[in-house]
Amino acid sequence: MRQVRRWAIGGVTTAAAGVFMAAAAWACVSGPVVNLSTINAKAGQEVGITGTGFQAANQVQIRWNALDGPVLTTVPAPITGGTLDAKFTVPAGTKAGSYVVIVNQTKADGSLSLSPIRAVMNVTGDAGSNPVLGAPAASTDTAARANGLARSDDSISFGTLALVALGVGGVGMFLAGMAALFAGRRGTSPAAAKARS
Amino acid sequence: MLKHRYGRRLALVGVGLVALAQGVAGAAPNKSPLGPPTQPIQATKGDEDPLRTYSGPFMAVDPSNSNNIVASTADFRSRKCLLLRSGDGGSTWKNLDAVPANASYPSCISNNSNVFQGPLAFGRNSTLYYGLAGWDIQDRAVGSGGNVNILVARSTDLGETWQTAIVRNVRGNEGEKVENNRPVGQIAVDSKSGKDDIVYISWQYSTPFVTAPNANPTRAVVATSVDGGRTFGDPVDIADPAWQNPANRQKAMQSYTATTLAPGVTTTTIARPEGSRVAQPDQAANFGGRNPAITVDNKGHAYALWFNTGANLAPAVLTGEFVSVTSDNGKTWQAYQAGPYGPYTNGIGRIAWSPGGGPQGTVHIVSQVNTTVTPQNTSGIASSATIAHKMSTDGGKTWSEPKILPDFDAKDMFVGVIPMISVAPNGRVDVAWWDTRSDPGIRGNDVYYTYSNDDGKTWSKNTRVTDRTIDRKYGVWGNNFDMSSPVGIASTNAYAVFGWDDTRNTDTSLAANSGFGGGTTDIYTSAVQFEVFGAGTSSAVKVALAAVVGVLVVGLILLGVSVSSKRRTGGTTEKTKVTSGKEPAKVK
Repeated sequence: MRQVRRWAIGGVTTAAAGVFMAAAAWACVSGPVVNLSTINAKAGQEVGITGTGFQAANQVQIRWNALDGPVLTTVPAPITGGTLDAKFTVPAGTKAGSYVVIVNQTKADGSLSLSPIRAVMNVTGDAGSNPVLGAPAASTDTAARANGLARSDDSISFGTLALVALGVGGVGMFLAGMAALFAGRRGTSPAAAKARS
Repeated sequence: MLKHRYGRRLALVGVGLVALAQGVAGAAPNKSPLGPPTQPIQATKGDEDPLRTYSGPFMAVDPSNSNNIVASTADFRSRKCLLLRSGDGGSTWKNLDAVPANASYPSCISNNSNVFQGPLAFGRNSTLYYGLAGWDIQDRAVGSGGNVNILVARSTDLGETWQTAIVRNVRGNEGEKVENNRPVGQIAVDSKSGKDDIVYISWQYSTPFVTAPNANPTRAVVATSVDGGRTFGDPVDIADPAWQNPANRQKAMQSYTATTLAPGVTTTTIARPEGSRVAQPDQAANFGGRNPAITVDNKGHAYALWFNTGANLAPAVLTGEFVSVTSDNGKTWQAYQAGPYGPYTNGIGRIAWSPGGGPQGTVHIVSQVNTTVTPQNTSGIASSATIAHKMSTDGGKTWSEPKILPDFDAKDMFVGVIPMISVAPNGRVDVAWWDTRSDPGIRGNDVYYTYSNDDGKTWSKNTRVTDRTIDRKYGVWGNNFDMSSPVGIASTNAYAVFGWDDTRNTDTSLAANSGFGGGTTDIYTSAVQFEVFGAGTSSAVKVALAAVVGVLVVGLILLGVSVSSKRRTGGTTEKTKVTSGKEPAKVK
């Protein structure tokens, strides 16, 4: 089993290195990345947070559960090398449940300079509430979804085909009827002339 | 009198039948989905390799049979482009053995960031076209991304076999001639104008060894085939017409100072050796284009979206949106500016055409823009993107103001990226993109979708297509290897089908999978359905058969009337009756 894992690790690393070496420096829109030292913690517990890709010139703010939630900690500028390494404490009294840690970067005037980064934090203990942002932590859609496309017996139903046939038949009969009518009139009008004489 | 009665009755029955048929058949098509998106299907099922990594697909539906859906993908293990096919409307999928690449150009993956691998399009007689990059080790050996070639494969049997044309062959180029033709942007097929399919393929290229002070900008090009993809003409620079105009160059060069810069954007000063392109920035050779996408209308025009680039310019020009139009099968192009220069244009977009909205139809652009273009948010926050739609009803000459399609609350600053657009035969415009609104903080994203039934004037409420948020800590997306694939989308009147790369089957207990770029990436598909969908053979054949049945019925009725008439008249023929009708003339 260990060998399989080694091979797997080796394979992934090799593939990764190949792709990475071939990669050109195009812009990425994903922004910074953050990682929590643990995603399960109790209220009052200290949690480490690290991240990369931040703007060096602006301070980082870590907020609890909302874009304008309580500030857990602030890391002043400069953010050397764009790398974040900080700690925060889960607010005392927080009920158990899933929460979101929001990492913002702000300019000197307090305005945001970066799209906020989100990270899930599960507070353990008694039953708690779900995150206020986005979907629940499981993030699964509960809508009733059909298994495949709804189908008729055929791409054109029998009724439609019958209607087409009726339509064509109807046109034909109409034309035939009109032809018969026209022919009949041509045949009978001289008879009327005869009656007048 | 007898003949009159028959004639009137026949005519009345005929009128009644026609009215009945028309009344039912003329019912309007469904304008809204029948229900939520279908349960996602694992299109790559059967591949049990825990290291499997597929790029997000391009998709297309066979215009003669909506059961046949095809999806292109790049297998990152083998670097090959593949084709997946469903013959049952997406319920099951098959990974086909045949590969579209020419044997001597086996690798197709190009990287990185928002890369489109293997665009697809159908032409007449269900001919499938597959655009891809092609290269081998020898091509990469020349360095700096190497010589990357462009191929177009055509299949007349839905991907069972391929005939592949080399559209741009730069194998063997060295030094300043090394040409990095990637990524392939889009493929579009005009199956109405010519004797054979007219096939357009767009891509961008760079020359990595041509450097400052005489560097080349990235170029946006289109090559065209007028013989159904068998041969292609030389690529044409679709941006060049814009830059031959000195006024356009001046406007671009002034853009940098004319616009408020995004936070963090800085200016640079470079040396200007005499006689170099840097010393004379105002020349067409210093301006180019990138990320070209292409579409066609039903009157023989092709429309190519591109974003401007520059080289040897200090300060660099800001990004604007352009559309080039051709009316002569790609020989010449006319360029129009579709969006202003600004720091918030991300340079990623797609283009499509719908037949309604005006005499020339409507050209649509969906592009990724910084949220600062939205009315709700002008804060200038970096790395926050959303999706904007623009349209033109005068053949690309003028464009509407952008309309933001994601309907999340702007203050929450969720992200929408990499839009894709497709138009159904009935004119419904479908747009899908990657969206973070459902991400609870796992660094994930979802596919979201909106549609328009009025040629882009109004858009539906957004629909979440994915059933669970895709965890991007696994796989090669974004911050891993920046291989961010767009959502695949294709449209029929009955449904819009979507495909995406999905890490849900990653075994998180495997240590290897938590490594950088580790994990499993499959392709999943789902559909939003608008009409009940059939399972049978060609609709046209069935309608023709029904018509034949109708004609037979008419024939039988007329035969019956004729026989009945003969009996009543004692066997007198119609010709005799006509002759007798002339008898009064003899009396006269």
